[in-house]
Parts: sequence; C-alpha cells; structure tokens
Amino acid sequence: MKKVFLLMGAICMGLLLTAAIPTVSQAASPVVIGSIDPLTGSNAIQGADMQRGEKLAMEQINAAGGICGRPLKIIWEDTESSAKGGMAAVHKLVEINKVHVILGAYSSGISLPTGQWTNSKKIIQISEASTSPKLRNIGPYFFNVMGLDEVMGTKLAEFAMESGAKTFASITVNNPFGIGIEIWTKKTIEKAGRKWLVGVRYDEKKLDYRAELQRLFAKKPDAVFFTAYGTESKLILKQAYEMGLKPPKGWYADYMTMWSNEVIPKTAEGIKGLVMGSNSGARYEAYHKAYLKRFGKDAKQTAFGAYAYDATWIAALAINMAGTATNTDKIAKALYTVSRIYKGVTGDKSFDKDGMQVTDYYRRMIYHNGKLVPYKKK
Amino acid sequence: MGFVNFLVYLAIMIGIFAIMSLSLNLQYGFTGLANFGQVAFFCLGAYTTTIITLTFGLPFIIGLIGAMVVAGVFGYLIAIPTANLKEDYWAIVTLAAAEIVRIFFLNEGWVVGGGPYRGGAFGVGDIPQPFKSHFSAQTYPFFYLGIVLVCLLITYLIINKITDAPFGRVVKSIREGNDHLAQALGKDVRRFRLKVMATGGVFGGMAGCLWAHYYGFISPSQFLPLVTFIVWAMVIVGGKGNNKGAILGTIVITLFYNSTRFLKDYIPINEITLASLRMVAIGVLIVVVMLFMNEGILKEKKKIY
Repeated sequence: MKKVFLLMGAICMGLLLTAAIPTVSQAASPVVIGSIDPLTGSNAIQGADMQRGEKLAMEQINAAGGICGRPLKIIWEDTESSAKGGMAAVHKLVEINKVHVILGAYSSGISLPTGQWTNSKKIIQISEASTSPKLRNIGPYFFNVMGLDEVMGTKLAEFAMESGAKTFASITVNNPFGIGIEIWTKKTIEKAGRKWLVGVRYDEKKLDYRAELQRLFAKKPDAVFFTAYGTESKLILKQAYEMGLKPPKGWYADYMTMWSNEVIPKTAEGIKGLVMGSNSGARYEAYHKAYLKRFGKDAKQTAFGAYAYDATWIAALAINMAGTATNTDKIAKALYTVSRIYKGVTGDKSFDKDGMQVTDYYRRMIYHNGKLVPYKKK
Repeated sequence: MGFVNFLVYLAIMIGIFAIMSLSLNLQYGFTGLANFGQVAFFCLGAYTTTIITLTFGLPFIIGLIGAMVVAGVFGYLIAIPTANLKEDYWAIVTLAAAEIVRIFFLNEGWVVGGGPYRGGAFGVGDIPQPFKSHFSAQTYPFFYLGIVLVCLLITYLIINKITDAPFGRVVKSIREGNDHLAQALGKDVRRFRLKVMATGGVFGGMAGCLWAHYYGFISPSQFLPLVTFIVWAMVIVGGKGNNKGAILGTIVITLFYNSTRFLKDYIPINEITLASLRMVAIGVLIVVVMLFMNEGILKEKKKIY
C-alpha cells in the first residue's frame, strides 16, 4: 500500500512540476486571464452561472477577432466558496499561470483577502458579485462591477419611504451582505427623519425563525426590510404568515430573485423590492438569447452570470485599449476609460475613483400570484 | 520564480496545518481525546493576535504569545467540566464549544474595535504582516516561511519530547486503558487530560496566529467545523500517534488537494466536473486509507518497556 502512496505522491509532484515547464510561444498566443468562481460549495449555483457568463463573453470576443488579434483564454479556478480555496486559486493563477488580470470573486469574504493579495502583487482583480463597502479600500488594482450595499440599501429605503411608512425595522441574514443592507437602510431612514425600530439578524440554516419574527414585530413597524437566501426565506415567510405577522405598509426585499422561485406563493404575496440589472434594451435581449442558445438554460436563474459577462468584456476591452496584457498600470487606467464607454447587460458600469460602481441598475418589482412583476405605483 | 513562489505558498500552508495536526495528534493520537473542536484554538489564536497587533498595535511576538496563551487557557477551561466524559461525549462537547467560539466572534464585532464594517460577519482585514517593511514583495514569503518552519520545528520538538517522556506514557495508558490502567498506576487521569488540552490549545493558537498574519484577513466563516475535519483527515491519513505521520499526512492532503487543481490544465475536463471530483477524491483517499491502512501511512511506534 505504501507503494501506492509513493506513486500517488509522485503523480502529485509531477503535476506540480509540469506547471514549472514553460510553454512554447506561438504566433498568435492567447491573452490569458484568470477567473475565480465558486464552482463547488454553498455558492456553486451562482458560480456555475458566473462561469457561463464569462465563457459566453470569451467566445463572443474571440468570434469578434479577439484582443489585438490574439484570442482570449480564461483559466477558471474554483474558490470552493471559501477564503482558503480562493487564496489557493489566486496563488496558482498568478504564480503558475502568470495571469495579470483576474475576474471574481463572488462573495466579499473571498474578494477581500484575495484582493488584498493580488493588489500587493499589482495584479488587476475585477470582483463580480461582492458588495461589502470594505472593498473600496483595497487598492488601485481592485475593481468591482456590482454596486455596493450602500447603493442597494439606499435605493431600497427610498422605495419603502414612498409608502408613507413612519417606522421601520429589518430582518437580515447575519453575514456581510445582510448587515450591509441593514446599515444602509437604517442610515437612509434616519437621515430622512423617519424612525428606525430594530434590526434583527438571523443565522442561516436554522429550523425555526419564530423567535426572530417575534422580536421583529414586537414594536409594530410600519414596514420591514428583508434579505434572505432561498431556503431561509421560504421558512421565514411561512412562519410569519402562520403567525399572522404582516407589516401594514409591507415587506421590502433586496435581490428578490434570490428567493422568488422557492417561496410558497401565498406567504410572499405583495412583497415589494428590487431586482438587479436591466431587463430591457438590445444588450439585455442579445445576452439572454445567446445564453439560452449556448447553454440551453435561462440566464435569469441568477443575475450573476450577467455581471460576470460584463466584467469579462470590460477586462478584454481594457487590455485591448492598453495594448498590453501585462502592464497592469496601463490596464487599470484603461479600465476607467472603458467603464465610462461600455454599456453593459447590467447597465452603466462606470467606476468611481476607487474602482467601485458609481451606481447600479435596480428594478422595482412586486411578488404577485407566484411571480415577480414590475411594480406600478398606484 | 513563480513556480517557486507557489511552492513557498504550499509550504506555508503545510507548515501551519502541520502545527494543527501535531496539536490534534497529541490530543487524539496519543491521549485518545476526540477533539472535534480543534478549530476553536485556531480561531482564538487568529482573533487574539489580530486584537493585540491590529487593535492595540503591539508587536507580532506579543500577538503570538497572546494567541498561544488564550487558546491554551481555553483548552484548559473547556476540559475542566468535560474531563471525565467518554470519547463520544467529548467529541460532541468540543464540537459545540468550537461553534460557540465562532458564533461569539460572528455576533460580537466590537471585540476587534473599529467601525461598522470591521469585526463580526465582516471579518477583519489589514492584519499586519511581521517585519514586512524589511522585505520586498518577492522575498517576504520566504521570510514568512522561515517563521512558520521555526514554529513547526519548536512544536514538533516539544510535542515529541512530551510524548517520549513519562508524561507521554501516562497519556498513552489513558488512551489504551479506558482510564483504569492509568488510575491503577495512581495517576490522576483528569489532570493529565487538562494538561493535554491546554498544550493542544497552545499550539492550535500558534497555528491560528500564523494563519491570520499570513492571510491578513480573518472572518468567522474561515473557522467552520470543516477545518477541524480536514485536520482530522491529515492525522488519520498520516498515522495517529506518530508525530512524523501527522506532518506527512498534512503534506499528503495539502499536495493532493492542490495538485489536483492542475489536472484540468493538461486533461480536457470541464472545470465544474473537476472541482467536484477533487472533493470526491479527497473523501475516497480517506476511505482507502481507513480500509487498507487503518493506522495511517506511518504507524505508531509502540515501545516495549
């Protein structure tokens, strides 16, 4: 048996050592960039969608002639939905595959440590679905194509205040995404002179949320902000429905597509909120059509594929404009220019001075008869 | 140079986790304490050094000592009410204790100080890397590897010394004799368990400290029970009750885990399929070891006295 292990060890070392062998350069050698997506683990569904978005963009870029006449090649690495996996992925991409531009990651908990490391190496990283405001401070080589929580939280609070509600509360998942929404809805509400009652944070994967719901409704808020992933939203809304708890001015939810396909329809009837990205225009239609044709799937299953698609295009256009795939100072400069010109599937992609989105495009929706429909003010 | 840097990164990971494996090996391999909450030491070490070096701005060495002391004290304290429990109850209690530690840091963001986006679920970034200003970005990983290897060497020598000493023979008798053997020799089993847990905690805390300063960012999501089970896999594959085995197990699992990333660069295989297969392969590796080498790659050397 020890021989088997020695053989396995030799194979492992062999795989590592072959990585050190330089490849022979060819006339039209590809422009190689990396991507870190959660291909396994708790965010694997979103990761698969992101990879499809990147793949679709890569194929379209190559069909259009590539970058400076060279084809684009993306090397995908799995973050395993963890910071440790993400760090292993960026180390491999930068040190073995020698990439100078990396797309991803999905969550802030991975984008932050990987971004700090890639930034210290002067490698461009373009986060695709992370929303923590801490991303703003990473450095000049870090960019983000999704609006941070401050944008979503503010817009959601503005939407809810139009209902005439005077008192507000929130129930959010206890992670950076949920707490970010709580912080920014509260800030916006208080700035407008309205009253904030309570922010309840819950842990994921629990079997009962009645205690949290009782705390939430103890002070009788007029309107409630709500963030949840599919499984938790189903249980929270079901239990609130069974307990007869409903805010008089309604629930207001962010990122509604995270749960709209999983909840029991009658428990979510009338919930208002926001959905990311545009749902109209030539870019949107073309993306959805191409996605369906290429993968046989509906691009709407998560919104993240579209953000990954836009990130890939922006990266490719910036490399093309900079005329170099290795000088990251020039690519970073080009990214700012490209972001102002590029009209994405997910809307305007302009970066602010920190490489974050100036704004993002959110649509107002309402859950009605088991599906999301555009909200129309009465 | 890039390839060498990648190997340095792997060596740092191996070094940090080898310290964790040696710590668990002392508890489980030698004493028979099924600690399913090993990650608690790791978490406490990481947060303690972060508070000391980042919040209070004290030097790395104070952070390292603080991490070892806090995790060691935690190990001692957690063992006080549980020292007389049997193996399965011990496992449940330690698993729960580790979750309590993680949930504490998840909900009590104030402990690390700072603004609304620091601590708690947001984690803590900008953890200083020791002596970084003295090195370039290229040479620093080599220096950090040196720190990790020195810590690993100290851990190995101390745990080897402990397990070879009369103390080691007593804890092995606790493992083998279901308490009665050690008690028949007049040994206070409870006291020995407390000492083992405290010592295990000290080195688990050391590993957590090294992790925090290497990554520069920690959050409660990095300290899930899965980390404990990966360390268990390292000890089981390498050989429980054998310190060299614990280190070998760490090397095998880490190399296996990382080298499989390269397969798709050479074999036309879908990235998602490969990513899933990698997880399956690690599970299969553990099952194979348990089936054919149930004492691990390096068996424990059982001395006849």
